[in-house]
Amino acid sequence: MRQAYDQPALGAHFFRVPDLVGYIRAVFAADPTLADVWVWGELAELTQSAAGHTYFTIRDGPAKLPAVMFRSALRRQTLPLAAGYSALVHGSVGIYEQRSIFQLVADIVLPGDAGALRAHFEAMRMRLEQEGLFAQERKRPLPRLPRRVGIVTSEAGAVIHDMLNVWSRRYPALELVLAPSAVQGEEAARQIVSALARLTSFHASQPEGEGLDVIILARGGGSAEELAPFNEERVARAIFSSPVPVVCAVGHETDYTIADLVADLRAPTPSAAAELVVPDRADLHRDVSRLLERGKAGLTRQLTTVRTALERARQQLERRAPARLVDEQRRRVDDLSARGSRAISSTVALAQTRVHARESQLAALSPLTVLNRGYAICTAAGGAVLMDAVLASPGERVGVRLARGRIVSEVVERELPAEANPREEAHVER
Amino acid sequence: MSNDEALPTTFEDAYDRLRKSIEELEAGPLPLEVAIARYEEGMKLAQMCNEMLDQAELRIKHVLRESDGEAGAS
Repeated sequence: MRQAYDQPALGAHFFRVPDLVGYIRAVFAADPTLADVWVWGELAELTQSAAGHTYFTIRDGPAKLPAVMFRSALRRQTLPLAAGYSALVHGSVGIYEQRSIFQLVADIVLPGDAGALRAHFEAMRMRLEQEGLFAQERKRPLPRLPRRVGIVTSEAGAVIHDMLNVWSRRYPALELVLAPSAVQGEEAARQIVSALARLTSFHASQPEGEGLDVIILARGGGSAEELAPFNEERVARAIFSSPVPVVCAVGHETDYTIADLVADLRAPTPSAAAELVVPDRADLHRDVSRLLERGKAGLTRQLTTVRTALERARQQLERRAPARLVDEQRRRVDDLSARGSRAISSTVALAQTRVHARESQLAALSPLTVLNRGYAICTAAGGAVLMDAVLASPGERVGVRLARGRIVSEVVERELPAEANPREEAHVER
Repeated sequence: MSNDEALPTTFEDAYDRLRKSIEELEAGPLPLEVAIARYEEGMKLAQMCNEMLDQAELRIKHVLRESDGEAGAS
């Protein structure tokens, strides 16, 4: 189709038919509104094609809109299509090129009354979404260890019991504040809003930090009609304005209610909500022991540090201890005295050796030693040693000392040496 | 020993204080007697935590009915 603009010489937009139809189709396809519309009207002129598609017209007074529901969409369609039905039809508007007509390609056909409800619902949903009630960034985290849990649900019925069972098993250290409310029927929406308001004012009346930690809005599964209160705008706004995080647990896995979308957290069932808001007591026991282990390690580390410092200080102190200094002095003294005594004993030994040597010398020179060789010493009566025969007159007594013992002899005769003085006479006896 | 506060009455308080004592002990050099006191405190708190978990009995503390509350009457 760009070709159309590429021929300015002709002054106008010239198309071949398929190009123009294609161009119109593209214009329709680019329009976001036409891609997603709800149309309310009466079904008419239904025909089945051989391929299994259903062609029909949606009428509203004199206005007519051609529509088709293809086989794939028909398979999901629960309401049978029939002429004369008042219906709400959802789909996209496009061009059917072969016949150059525009038509609604329908994917959902709802019965008229429910259809109106649905349209109203969709409109509200979009409005709330635009206002930011569903925004992810306003979802508040749940406390890890809640103490007080507010509950909005029916006082009768299994839901509250299921939740109590979960908590008794997992985490009984909870205080529950129950705001009973009908959760289905005409009164339900108003009662839910009122119950949330009671919990809010209870929360506000508590001292700081002792209010509610989380609120659970719960009911068991049910039909779309039974869940209707959870799609009401006032309920949505009450959840939105709750000062306490709200967990919505409306027992249905597949479809989301408006309440689910507004809530801070959505749980698939009430029991699941009960589990989601509390930790498991077994895990907590484990956490406590783990903390204590860490504490033990921390303390040990600190003790080791202190002990090391202490040991270092002790060593330093020891090095400077007076006792040690005294010891050192004593050792020095001991050393000296040892050296002294060593020196003395060697001096003594030397002296002794010398003495011994002298002794032997002395012994060799002793007259007694001479006597041992058979000599004798002769002494006069006065004790003087006789060395000259002239001094010993015959008849005189002389002492003779032998190697062993002593005798007294009498000089019988004497011989004087020739060259000696003859006057002197000595009596020497042999 | 720094905490002369009342004993914790809820598991959350006890657990929170246990965690703080332990973290302080882990964080770093404390005077020896403080470290020992922290550890003793931790032991005590851990015991309390365990007891609280085991002895706690789930209870519905308040039931706020429409008639007792300020809530809009029908």
